[in-house]
Amino acid sequence: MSLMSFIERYFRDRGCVLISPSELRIPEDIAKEIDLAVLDVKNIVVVKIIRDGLNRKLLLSAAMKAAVLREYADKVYLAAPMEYRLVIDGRVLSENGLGLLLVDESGNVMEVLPAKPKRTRRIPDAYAKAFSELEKQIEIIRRRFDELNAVVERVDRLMQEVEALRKEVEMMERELKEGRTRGGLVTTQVAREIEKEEELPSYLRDNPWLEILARRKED
Amino acid sequence: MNIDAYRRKYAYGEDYGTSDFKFGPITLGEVPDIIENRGYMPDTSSIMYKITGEVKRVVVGPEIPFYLEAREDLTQRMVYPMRNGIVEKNDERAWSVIYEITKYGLQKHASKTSDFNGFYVTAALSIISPKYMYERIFEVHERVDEETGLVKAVTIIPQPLAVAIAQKKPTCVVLESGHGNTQISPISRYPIRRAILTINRGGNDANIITAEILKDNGYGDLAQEEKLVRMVKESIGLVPRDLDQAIQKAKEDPDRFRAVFKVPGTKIVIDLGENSWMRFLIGEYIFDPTHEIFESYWKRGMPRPRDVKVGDTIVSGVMDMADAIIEAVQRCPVELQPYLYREVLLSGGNFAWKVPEEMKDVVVDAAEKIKLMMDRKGIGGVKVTLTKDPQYSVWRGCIVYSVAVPDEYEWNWERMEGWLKLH
Repeated sequence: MSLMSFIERYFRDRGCVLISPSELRIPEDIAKEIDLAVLDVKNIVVVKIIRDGLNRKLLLSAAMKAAVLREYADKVYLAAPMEYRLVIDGRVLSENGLGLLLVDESGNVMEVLPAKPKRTRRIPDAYAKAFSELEKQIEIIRRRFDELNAVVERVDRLMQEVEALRKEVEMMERELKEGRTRGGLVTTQVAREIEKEEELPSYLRDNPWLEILARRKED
Repeated sequence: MNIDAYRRKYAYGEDYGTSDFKFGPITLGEVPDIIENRGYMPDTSSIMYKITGEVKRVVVGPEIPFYLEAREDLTQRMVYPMRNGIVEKNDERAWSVIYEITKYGLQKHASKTSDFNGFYVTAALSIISPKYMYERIFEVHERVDEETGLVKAVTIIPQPLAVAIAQKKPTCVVLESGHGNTQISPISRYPIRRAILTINRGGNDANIITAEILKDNGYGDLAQEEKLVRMVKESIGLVPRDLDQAIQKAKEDPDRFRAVFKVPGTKIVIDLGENSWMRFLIGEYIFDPTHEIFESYWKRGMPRPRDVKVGDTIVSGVMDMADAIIEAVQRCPVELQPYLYREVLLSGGNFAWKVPEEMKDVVVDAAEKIKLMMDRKGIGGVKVTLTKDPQYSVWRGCIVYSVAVPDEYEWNWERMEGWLKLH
């Protein structure tokens, strides 16, 4: 198995989820420096593997590149075979907040130096631009909302006035229909005579009481 | 019969009910105008008062809500003038409401045709109305006519007579059962006044026993709310064919007779469960409270229907309906009695009892109940009819009366009929 696969297993065993460096939406020249990226809950952890070169210069160069990655990740590790341990300057890594993972011949991975978590992560340019645009939109919406609130208040006041006027008009209409004015009586309805027998209401048709009552005076 | 052309247009009816005032001319056809029998005494600081600049002492009809919005003292300012169909003699606030609703109705239907010279108005009052009510109702119409010229002539008839007229039954017994009492009026072309019987038992008594049943079943808190109790009564109350048999069947098969009522708009469900047989007590209490089972309720403090003293006679508040009909009919001439038993008319909301299809072997409607009770007392062949459109019957009878009674027949205080001519 390769060094890479040992490190992948190490992070998987800790519940991390492997992600592709391209998913981080960071500049390509920086992304190519990442050998492994994982998501540890919400934190982005990236690893740069030192594969060859046993001299301090190469190690320092790798450390410098890894330090750049801290702009875009929460934790950054360097990973190297166990035999490199003698040439790695732990102090340089620690000062730059980098962690160190060493892998022995059996594939055991040891966290020799924990990475310092970064408090703020640099927002990728693509996101930053979108955020800025959103901020502008939110400001526009906020202003529109204030304007709308003022309109609603005005409409509420007008509705109250309309309701009061409507009631007044209804009352005046009813008074007119009922033939009343404040000065006296105005009749408005025209009574319709029931002309034919069949137009009589049901309770009047064939009602024996009509004859009985008509003879009241004679009884 | 030829109907006078003038009265074909200008016959007018007024039914002064405790809850509603039904009114209007013959030209309305089958259904009268209705407003609530109540008036509102606005305060001079009212908004409407300021807007209209109008001085109104009493507001009636659909205008009332416009005056209510700023009111907090509703109970003090809202006047319901009648109790069990009666207006107190010296209750001037109540009489001012009666004046306003009368005037409101007449003005609403005033005609501007050239031949119009006022309505022939027939007003219907409760049969137990005292003479002063007749006098005051005449005064009200005189005053309205003086102010508006809208009443040519006015007469007053008892409501049961109007029911008999609307139902086209010249000889019958009319049972009118309202909120507070039940009146039994034999009629043979005239109301037979000496035979009229009033029992102090009505819809409210069914409400009272419904409240007791709710308390017994653990719903004592709900029993305080009158409107809710009435809804429960209307939903679960049933009239049993035979109370003992109904109770026995319901106890043997409680699921079939289970009384469950869900209070609308809430999560409250009233379930009488094993005690669902109690639903039969609600209906039975109206028709026959003499069953021993009701004694236990009275002993526990439930108010007993009060007796009524009329002249030298005391009418028991717990007299069963069949006995009351028999008592009233027996006060009539013997030869008339068989004809009266042939037509018993039931009128009023307290006779509206439902009969669920699946309980027809045990449950009956009001007409069937009265017939069964009469049969058990040995009076067979009784025809009992629930009036159609009971809420409009009285007004319709008034219209017929206005149309038919001759113009020259003037009011007679001894006979209590005829026209009082106003102009």
